[in-house]
Amino acid sequence: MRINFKYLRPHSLNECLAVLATHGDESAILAGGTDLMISLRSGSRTPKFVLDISRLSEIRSVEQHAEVIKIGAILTYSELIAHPLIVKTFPALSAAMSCVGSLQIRNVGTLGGNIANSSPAADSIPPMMIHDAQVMIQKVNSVRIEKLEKLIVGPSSNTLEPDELITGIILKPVESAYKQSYRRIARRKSLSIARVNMAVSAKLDANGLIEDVRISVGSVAPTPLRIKKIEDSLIGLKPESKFIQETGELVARHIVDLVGVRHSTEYKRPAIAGLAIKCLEDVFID
Amino acid sequence: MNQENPQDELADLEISFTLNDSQVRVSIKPWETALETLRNKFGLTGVKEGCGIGECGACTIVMDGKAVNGCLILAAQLDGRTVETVEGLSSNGTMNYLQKAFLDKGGVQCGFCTPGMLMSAKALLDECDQPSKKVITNALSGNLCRCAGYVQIVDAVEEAALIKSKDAEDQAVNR
Repeated sequence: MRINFKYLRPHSLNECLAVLATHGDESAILAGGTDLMISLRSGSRTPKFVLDISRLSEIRSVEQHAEVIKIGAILTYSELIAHPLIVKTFPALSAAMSCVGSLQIRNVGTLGGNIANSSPAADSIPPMMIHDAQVMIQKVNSVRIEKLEKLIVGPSSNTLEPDELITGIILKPVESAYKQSYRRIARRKSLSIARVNMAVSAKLDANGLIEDVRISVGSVAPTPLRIKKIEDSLIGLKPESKFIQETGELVARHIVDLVGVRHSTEYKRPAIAGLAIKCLEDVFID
Repeated sequence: MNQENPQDELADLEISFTLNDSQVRVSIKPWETALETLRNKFGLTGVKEGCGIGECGACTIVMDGKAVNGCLILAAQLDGRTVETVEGLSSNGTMNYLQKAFLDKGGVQCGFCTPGMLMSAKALLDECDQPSKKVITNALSGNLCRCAGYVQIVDAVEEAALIKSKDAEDQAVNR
């Protein structure tokens, strides 16, 4: 490791926010460190201070509230995958977190870190988007709650200010009538970055027609995104197998329209369609 | 920690942790990785650097019971933790059950990935007595073997699980 920096381990959230208030622009936050350590090694990040937040007890619990579940930002993937409430309430997110990196990476990597890193291919983001995720962001004496979709604005780019820290993720559980799916396409199962990933959640009404459907796609655009236009067009329809095939194609066409034809389109277009068909089958076909 | 002006902090940090059952204290640079400290300050060269970016698992160590990549952890993060490396497996020159199983099943070829494989396997078997093949494969999927000896390695971990449960039974009988 060639870059010299100071290592700071604040003992409380307030202490951490105080450091960020004065030195935020020259600090890097270390939660799990699985992305930061690589940037420090390559020299793509050269902070003066590395702020280790991995032991801040204030932001490492799962809290159940009346309408939402709040997840502490520095809980690791392994801790969340082993958490009964998370597994039961957010099956698509749990499946996605099981796909992250390797066991060694899941043992230290955090959900808050995945958001802060803002990769277009982040595994956890599409399945959080189908729960209308909100991100709790704190700085000295203030808290703001931002929609996840609004927070991430481009590849590795978000609206976090240097003095701000992601402290929690707020997810709205859905009723048990919803079915959920998460799937990804990558070169191999472990230690790979998704080429396309997708989370789908849906509910049928008493007549077997679509009452609600949410589709979020990652790795195909500058940020993971919800495709609300397609979602809305599916309400009230009957999810038969021909419909699922057509909707898969529709999703792919919509994404290509959105981001334009790229070098990877020839591969990604049928890949998106195929993945969408599988996710839709997961939620609509028993 | 000095909040007002963190630059006043000394560049060298003093950390202490439990390393292979001994309490240790060491002075480190803030930017040192756990991998560098364990190799260079403690001579634990069983912790290998393969890729240096968390993709190969050759530097796998066990920290507070969990397998982690030594290259992705700062040495400073070891402070107060319990750390196990491959050197801690044998005692008094006798191999432990995992090491024996790796030899018996031919789970070692060039040997570079072996310490990491052993530590991933150790973290698994410390937590789970009778892992299925699928569970073993999953636990080892962050460790690459360039000799591609995966079949023998998975066999070795299955064998080790059997030896371990048999030893536990024997101990229960002798008690």
